[in-house]
Amino acid sequence: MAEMPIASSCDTGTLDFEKLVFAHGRFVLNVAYSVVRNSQDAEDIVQETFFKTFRVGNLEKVEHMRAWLGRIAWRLALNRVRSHSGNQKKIQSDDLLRTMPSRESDAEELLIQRERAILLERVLLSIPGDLRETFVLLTVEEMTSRSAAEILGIPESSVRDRLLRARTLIKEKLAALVEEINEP
Amino acid sequence: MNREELEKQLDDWLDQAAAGYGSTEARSGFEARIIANLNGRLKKRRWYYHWIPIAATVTALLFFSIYALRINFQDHGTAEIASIRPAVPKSGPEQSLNRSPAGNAAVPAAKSHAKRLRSVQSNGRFLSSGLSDQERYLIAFARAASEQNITGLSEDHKFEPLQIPELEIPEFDIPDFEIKSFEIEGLHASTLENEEKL
Repeated sequence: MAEMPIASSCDTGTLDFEKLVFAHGRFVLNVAYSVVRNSQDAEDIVQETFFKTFRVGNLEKVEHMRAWLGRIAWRLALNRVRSHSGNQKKIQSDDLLRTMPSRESDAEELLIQRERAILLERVLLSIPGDLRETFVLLTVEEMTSRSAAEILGIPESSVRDRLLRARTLIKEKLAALVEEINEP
Repeated sequence: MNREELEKQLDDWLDQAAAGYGSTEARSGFEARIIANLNGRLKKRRWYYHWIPIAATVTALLFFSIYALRINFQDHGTAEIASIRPAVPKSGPEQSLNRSPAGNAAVPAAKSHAKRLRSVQSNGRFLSSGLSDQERYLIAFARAASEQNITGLSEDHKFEPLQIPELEIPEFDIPDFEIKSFEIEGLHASTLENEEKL
Protein backbone atom coordinates (compact mmCIF):
# COMPACT_ATOMS: atom_id res chain seq x y z
CA MET A 1 0.00 0.00 0.00
CA ALA A 2 1.39 3.39 -0.92
CA GLU A 3 2.00 6.17 1.60
CA MET A 4 -1.22 7.94 2.44
CA PRO A 5 -0.73 11.67 2.89
CA ILE A 6 -2.80 13.49 5.45
CA ALA A 7 -4.76 15.31 2.77
CA SER A 8 -6.22 12.05 1.56
CA SER A 9 -6.96 10.92 5.09
CA CYS A 10 -9.05 13.98 5.78
CA ASP A 11 -11.55 15.22 3.30
CA THR A 12 -11.99 18.78 4.48
CA GLY A 13 -8.57 19.53 5.87
CA THR A 14 -9.77 19.28 9.46
CA LEU A 15 -8.54 16.11 11.01
CA ASP A 16 -11.00 13.37 11.57
CA PHE A 17 -9.29 11.26 14.14
CA GLU A 18 -11.69 8.40 13.88
CA LYS A 19 -10.81 8.08 10.22
CA LEU A 20 -7.19 8.25 11.19
CA VAL A 21 -7.55 5.37 13.61
CA PHE A 22 -9.44 3.26 11.08
CA ALA A 23 -6.94 4.06 8.32
CA HIS A 24 -3.69 3.49 10.20
CA GLY A 25 -4.58 1.71 13.43
CA ARG A 26 -3.67 -1.78 12.30
CA PHE A 27 -0.44 -0.67 10.71
CA VAL A 28 0.57 1.06 13.94
CA LEU A 29 -0.43 -2.07 15.86
CA ASN A 30 1.82 -4.23 13.68
CA VAL A 31 4.75 -1.84 14.06
CA ALA A 32 4.37 -1.94 17.82
CA TYR A 33 3.88 -5.69 17.85
CA SER A 34 7.01 -6.31 15.80
CA VAL A 35 9.01 -4.82 18.64
CA VAL A 36 7.18 -5.78 21.82
CA ARG A 37 5.91 -9.20 20.60
CA ASN A 38 2.84 -8.96 22.79
CA SER A 39 -0.59 -7.98 21.52
CA GLN A 40 -1.74 -6.30 24.74
CA ASP A 41 1.37 -4.15 24.98
CA ALA A 42 1.10 -3.38 21.28
CA GLU A 43 -2.48 -2.17 21.74
CA ASP A 44 -1.41 0.04 24.64
CA ILE A 45 1.24 1.54 22.41
CA VAL A 46 -1.32 2.22 19.68
CA GLN A 47 -3.42 4.00 22.27
CA GLU A 48 -0.48 6.09 23.38
CA THR A 49 0.53 6.83 19.81
CA PHE A 50 -2.85 8.24 18.86
CA PHE A 51 -3.13 10.14 22.10
CA LYS A 52 0.20 11.80 21.42
CA THR A 53 -0.94 12.55 17.89
CA PHE A 54 -4.11 14.21 19.14
CA ARG A 55 -2.19 16.26 21.65
CA VAL A 56 -0.01 17.61 18.85
CA GLY A 57 -3.22 18.72 17.15
CA ASN A 58 -1.87 20.58 14.15
CA LEU A 59 -1.15 17.74 11.74
CA GLU A 60 -1.65 19.53 8.46
CA LYS A 61 2.09 19.78 7.93
CA VAL A 62 2.65 16.04 8.26
CA GLU A 63 3.32 14.71 4.77
CA HIS A 64 3.33 10.96 5.34
CA MET A 65 0.95 10.28 8.15
CA ARG A 66 1.44 6.51 8.08
CA ALA A 67 5.21 6.72 8.44
CA TRP A 68 4.89 9.46 11.04
CA LEU A 69 2.54 7.38 13.17
CA GLY A 70 4.74 4.36 12.65
CA ARG A 71 7.73 6.31 13.88
CA ILE A 72 5.93 7.36 17.08
CA ALA A 73 4.79 3.79 17.72
CA TRP A 74 8.26 2.48 16.98
CA ARG A 75 9.87 4.83 19.51
CA LEU A 76 7.27 4.06 22.16
CA ALA A 77 7.69 0.33 21.60
CA LEU A 78 11.46 0.54 21.86
CA ASN A 79 11.16 2.55 25.06
CA ARG A 80 8.81 -0.04 26.49
CA VAL A 81 11.11 -2.92 25.57
CA ARG A 82 14.12 -1.12 27.05
CA SER A 83 12.28 -0.31 30.26
CA HIS A 84 11.25 -3.97 30.57
CA SER A 85 14.58 -5.32 29.37
CA GLY A 86 15.16 -7.08 32.69
CA ASN A 87 11.99 -9.10 32.29
CA GLN A 88 12.00 -12.19 30.18
CA LYS A 89 9.91 -11.61 27.09
CA LYS A 90 7.06 -14.07 27.05
CA ILE A 91 5.41 -15.19 23.88
CA GLN A 92 1.72 -15.67 24.37
CA SER A 93 0.13 -18.65 22.71
CA ASP A 94 -2.65 -16.55 21.20
CA ASP A 95 -0.03 -14.17 19.86
CA LEU A 96 1.66 -17.04 18.11
CA LEU A 97 -1.61 -18.14 16.64
CA ARG A 98 -2.30 -14.65 15.38
CA THR A 99 1.07 -14.53 13.64
CA MET A 100 0.08 -17.42 11.45
CA PRO A 101 -0.55 -16.45 7.87
CA SER A 102 -3.80 -18.36 7.65
CA ARG A 103 -6.12 -19.61 10.36
CA GLU A 104 -7.36 -22.35 8.13
CA SER A 105 -4.01 -24.09 7.93
CA ASP A 106 -3.80 -27.52 9.38
CA ALA A 107 -2.38 -28.21 12.83
CA GLU A 108 0.94 -29.37 11.51
CA GLU A 109 1.45 -26.16 9.58
CA LEU A 110 0.56 -24.14 12.69
CA LEU A 111 3.14 -25.97 14.74
CA ILE A 112 5.80 -25.46 12.09
CA GLN A 113 5.03 -21.76 11.96
CA ARG A 114 5.26 -21.55 15.72
CA GLU A 115 8.62 -23.27 15.75
CA ARG A 116 9.86 -20.96 13.03
CA ALA A 117 8.80 -17.86 14.97
CA ILE A 118 10.50 -19.05 18.15
CA LEU A 119 13.70 -19.98 16.34
CA LEU A 120 13.80 -16.74 14.41
CA GLU A 121 13.31 -14.75 17.58
CA ARG A 122 16.21 -16.54 19.25
CA VAL A 123 18.48 -15.93 16.27
CA LEU A 124 17.44 -12.29 16.10
CA LEU A 125 18.50 -11.76 19.70
CA SER A 126 22.06 -12.72 18.73
CA ILE A 127 22.54 -10.14 15.96
CA PRO A 128 23.37 -6.43 16.45
CA GLY A 129 20.52 -4.18 17.53
CA ASP A 130 20.41 -1.88 14.50
CA LEU A 131 20.28 -4.85 12.12
CA ARG A 132 17.63 -6.56 14.23
CA GLU A 133 15.45 -3.46 14.39
CA THR A 134 15.62 -2.96 10.64
CA PHE A 135 14.88 -6.59 9.89
CA VAL A 136 11.97 -6.71 12.33
CA LEU A 137 10.50 -3.48 11.00
CA LEU A 138 10.57 -4.80 7.46
CA THR A 139 8.69 -7.92 8.46
CA VAL A 140 5.66 -5.72 9.20
CA GLU A 141 2.87 -6.10 6.71
CA GLU A 142 2.62 -3.20 4.20
CA MET A 143 6.01 -1.89 5.28
CA THR A 144 8.18 -0.60 2.46
CA SER A 145 11.87 0.21 2.66
CA ARG A 146 10.95 3.86 2.20
CA SER A 147 8.56 3.82 5.15
CA ALA A 148 11.14 1.96 7.21
CA ALA A 149 13.72 4.60 6.32
CA GLU A 150 11.36 7.35 7.48
CA ILE A 151 10.57 5.53 10.70
CA LEU A 152 14.20 4.79 11.50
CA GLY A 153 15.38 8.21 10.33
CA ILE A 154 18.05 6.83 8.01
CA PRO A 155 18.45 6.80 4.20
CA GLU A 156 16.62 4.14 2.22
CA SER A 157 19.93 2.75 0.95
CA SER A 158 21.03 2.20 4.55
CA VAL A 159 17.82 0.28 5.22
CA ARG A 160 18.52 -2.04 2.29
CA ASP A 161 22.12 -2.46 3.38
CA ARG A 162 21.11 -3.29 6.93
CA LEU A 163 18.49 -5.76 5.74
CA LEU A 164 21.05 -7.54 3.57
CA ARG A 165 23.55 -7.75 6.41
CA ALA A 166 20.89 -8.95 8.82
CA ARG A 167 19.76 -11.69 6.46
CA THR A 168 23.34 -12.79 5.87
CA LEU A 169 24.03 -12.97 9.60
CA ILE A 170 20.79 -14.84 10.31
CA LYS A 171 21.51 -17.34 7.59
CA GLU A 172 25.04 -17.90 8.89
CA LYS A 173 23.69 -18.64 12.34
CA LEU A 174 20.99 -20.92 10.97
CA ALA A 175 23.59 -22.76 8.86
CA ALA A 176 25.70 -23.27 11.96
CA LEU A 177 22.65 -24.72 13.72
CA VAL A 178 21.96 -27.06 10.80
CA GLU A 179 25.57 -28.24 10.83
CA GLU A 180 25.35 -28.92 14.57
CA ILE A 181 22.21 -31.01 14.02
CA ASN A 182 23.73 -32.95 11.10
CA GLU A 183 26.94 -33.76 12.98
CA PRO A 184 26.87 -37.32 14.37
CA MET B 1 23.56 -31.06 0.32
CA ASN B 2 25.85 -28.53 -1.28
CA ARG B 3 26.34 -24.92 -0.22
CA GLU B 4 24.00 -23.40 -2.81
CA GLU B 5 21.13 -25.70 -1.94
CA LEU B 6 21.54 -24.94 1.74
CA GLU B 7 21.60 -21.22 0.97
CA LYS B 8 18.39 -21.49 -1.01
CA GLN B 9 16.64 -23.49 1.68
CA LEU B 10 17.69 -21.00 4.34
CA ASP B 11 16.43 -18.15 2.20
CA ASP B 12 13.06 -19.85 1.82
CA TRP B 13 12.88 -20.61 5.51
CA LEU B 14 13.73 -17.03 6.41
CA ASP B 15 11.10 -15.63 4.03
CA GLN B 16 8.43 -17.89 5.49
CA ALA B 17 9.41 -17.09 9.06
CA ALA B 18 9.61 -13.35 8.42
CA ALA B 19 6.25 -13.31 6.61
CA GLY B 20 4.24 -13.78 9.76
CA TYR B 21 6.74 -12.51 12.27
CA GLY B 22 5.93 -8.82 12.39
CA SER B 23 2.19 -8.98 11.97
CA THR B 24 -0.61 -9.72 14.33
CA GLU B 25 -4.34 -9.84 13.90
CA ALA B 26 -6.08 -7.16 15.89
CA ARG B 27 -8.67 -8.33 18.36
CA SER B 28 -12.28 -7.66 17.47
CA GLY B 29 -13.41 -4.09 18.09
CA PHE B 30 -9.84 -2.83 18.07
CA GLU B 31 -10.53 0.54 16.46
CA ALA B 32 -13.68 1.16 18.49
CA ARG B 33 -11.80 0.40 21.68
CA ILE B 34 -8.98 2.75 20.75
CA ILE B 35 -11.40 5.57 19.93
CA ALA B 36 -13.44 5.05 23.10
CA ASN B 37 -10.37 5.05 25.32
CA LEU B 38 -9.05 8.07 23.51
CA ASN B 39 -12.28 9.99 24.04
CA GLY B 40 -12.19 9.11 27.71
CA ARG B 41 -8.65 10.37 28.08
CA LEU B 42 -9.38 13.55 26.15
CA LYS B 43 -12.44 14.28 28.31
CA LYS B 44 -10.37 13.85 31.42
CA ARG B 45 -7.82 16.17 29.96
CA ARG B 46 -10.45 18.77 29.12
CA TRP B 47 -11.83 18.62 32.67
CA TYR B 48 -8.31 19.14 33.96
CA TYR B 49 -7.70 22.09 31.69
CA HIS B 50 -10.89 23.83 32.84
CA TRP B 51 -9.28 24.41 36.20
CA ILE B 52 -6.30 26.28 34.78
CA PRO B 53 -8.07 29.63 34.08
CA ILE B 54 -9.96 29.39 37.38
CA ALA B 55 -6.74 28.78 39.27
CA ALA B 56 -5.07 31.64 37.41
CA THR B 57 -7.93 34.02 38.27
CA VAL B 58 -7.94 33.04 41.94
CA THR B 59 -4.19 33.49 42.14
CA ALA B 60 -4.38 36.91 40.50
CA LEU B 61 -7.15 38.00 42.91
CA LEU B 62 -5.16 36.72 45.85
CA PHE B 63 -2.08 38.66 44.81
CA PHE B 64 -4.11 41.78 44.18
CA SER B 65 -5.82 41.62 47.58
CA ILE B 66 -2.50 41.02 49.35
CA TYR B 67 -1.00 44.00 47.54
CA ALA B 68 -3.98 46.22 48.41
CA LEU B 69 -3.87 45.13 52.05
CA ARG B 70 -0.18 45.87 52.19
CA ILE B 71 -0.67 49.39 50.83
CA ASN B 72 -3.49 50.06 53.34
CA PHE B 73 -1.39 48.77 56.18
CA GLN B 74 1.52 51.03 55.20
CA ASP B 75 -0.73 54.11 55.00
CA HIS B 76 -2.28 53.31 58.37
CA GLY B 77 1.16 52.87 59.93
CA THR B 78 2.35 56.24 58.63
CA ALA B 79 -0.76 57.98 59.98
CA GLU B 80 -0.19 56.42 63.40
CA ILE B 81 3.42 57.62 63.50
CA ALA B 82 2.36 61.11 62.47
CA SER B 83 -0.29 61.20 65.22
CA ILE B 84 2.16 60.28 67.97
CA ARG B 85 4.78 62.78 66.76
CA PRO B 86 5.13 65.55 69.44
CA ALA B 87 4.67 69.25 68.64
CA VAL B 88 7.74 71.03 67.30
CA PRO B 89 9.08 73.63 69.77
CA LYS B 90 8.08 77.11 68.65
CA SER B 91 10.69 79.41 70.18
CA GLY B 92 14.02 77.72 69.70
CA PRO B 93 16.32 75.79 71.91
CA GLU B 94 15.60 77.62 75.17
CA GLN B 95 12.20 76.09 75.57
CA SER B 96 13.56 72.62 74.96
CA LEU B 97 16.23 73.14 77.53
CA ASN B 98 13.71 74.28 80.12
CA ARG B 99 11.48 71.26 79.53
CA SER B 100 11.53 68.94 82.52
CA PRO B 101 12.84 65.40 81.88
CA ALA B 102 10.00 64.13 84.07
CA GLY B 103 7.57 64.91 81.23
CA ASN B 104 9.09 62.14 79.12
CA ALA B 105 9.73 59.78 81.94
CA ALA B 106 6.85 57.48 80.91
CA VAL B 107 8.60 56.54 77.71
CA PRO B 108 11.85 54.69 78.32
CA ALA B 109 14.83 55.86 76.33
CA ALA B 110 15.46 52.46 74.83
CA LYS B 111 11.92 52.16 73.53
CA SER B 112 12.01 55.56 71.93
CA HIS B 113 15.32 54.81 70.33
CA ALA B 114 14.02 51.54 68.89
CA LYS B 115 10.92 53.25 67.59
CA ARG B 116 13.01 55.93 65.94
CA LEU B 117 15.16 53.32 64.27
CA ARG B 118 12.09 51.50 63.00
CA SER B 119 10.57 54.64 61.58
CA VAL B 120 13.81 55.57 59.85
CA GLN B 121 14.15 52.10 58.37
CA SER B 122 10.54 51.77 57.25
CA ASN B 123 9.89 55.27 55.91
CA GLY B 124 13.37 56.43 55.02
CA ARG B 125 12.56 59.67 56.87
CA PHE B 126 13.95 60.96 60.10
CA LEU B 127 11.24 61.60 62.68
CA SER B 128 11.96 63.63 65.76
CA SER B 129 9.36 61.89 67.90
CA GLY B 130 11.83 59.63 69.67
CA LEU B 131 14.65 62.10 70.22
CA SER B 132 16.04 62.98 73.60
CA ASP B 133 16.08 66.58 74.81
CA GLN B 134 19.78 66.95 74.11
CA GLU B 135 19.31 65.77 70.57
CA ARG B 136 16.42 68.15 70.05
CA TYR B 137 18.49 71.00 71.38
CA LEU B 138 21.33 70.17 69.06
CA ILE B 139 19.07 70.04 66.03
CA ALA B 140 17.36 73.30 66.95
CA PHE B 141 20.72 74.95 67.49
CA ALA B 142 22.03 73.78 64.17
CA ARG B 143 18.93 75.03 62.40
CA ALA B 144 19.11 78.44 64.07
CA ALA B 145 22.80 78.80 63.37
CA SER B 146 22.45 77.87 59.73
CA GLU B 147 19.54 80.31 59.27
CA GLN B 148 21.54 83.12 60.85
CA ASN B 149 24.53 82.40 58.67
CA ILE B 150 22.47 82.38 55.51
CA THR B 151 20.63 85.63 56.29
CA GLY B 152 23.87 87.33 57.40
CA LEU B 153 25.66 86.30 54.26
CA SER B 154 22.91 87.51 52.00
CA GLU B 155 22.93 91.00 53.55
CA ASP B 156 26.63 91.68 54.07
CA HIS B 157 28.27 90.01 51.11
CA LYS B 158 27.55 90.73 47.54
CA PHE B 159 29.29 88.48 45.14
CA GLU B 160 30.25 89.94 41.81
CA PRO B 161 31.21 87.89 38.79
CA LEU B 162 34.88 87.03 38.60
CA GLN B 163 37.03 89.10 36.28
CA ILE B 164 39.88 87.29 34.65
CA PRO B 165 42.51 89.54 33.01
CA GLU B 166 43.45 88.65 29.45
CA LEU B 167 46.72 86.84 29.08
CA GLU B 168 49.31 87.78 26.49
CA ILE B 169 51.46 84.97 25.21
CA PRO B 170 54.55 86.20 23.36
CA GLU B 171 55.69 84.38 20.26
CA PHE B 172 58.41 81.78 20.73
CA ASP B 173 61.77 82.44 19.14
CA ILE B 174 63.30 79.18 17.97
CA PRO B 175 66.92 79.63 16.84
CA ASP B 176 67.96 77.97 13.57
CA PHE B 177 70.30 75.06 14.00
CA GLU B 178 72.81 73.91 11.43
CA ILE B 179 74.36 70.45 11.57
CA LYS B 180 77.85 70.60 10.20
CA SER B 181 79.41 67.32 11.20
CA PHE B 182 78.69 64.31 13.31
CA GLU B 183 80.82 61.58 14.81
CA ILE B 184 79.97 57.93 15.50
CA GLU B 185 82.00 56.06 18.06
CA GLY B 186 84.03 53.13 16.77
CA LEU B 187 83.79 54.20 13.13
CA HIS B 188 86.12 56.34 11.12
CA ALA B 189 84.17 58.11 8.45
CA SER B 190 87.23 58.94 6.56
CA THR B 191 87.66 55.51 4.94
CA LEU B 192 85.61 54.22 2.03
CA GLU B 193 84.51 51.08 3.88
CA ASN B 194 82.99 53.04 6.71
CA GLU B 195 81.23 55.35 4.31
CA GLU B 196 79.62 52.32 2.64
CA LYS B 197 78.59 50.94 6.00
CA LEU B 198 77.03 54.22 6.88
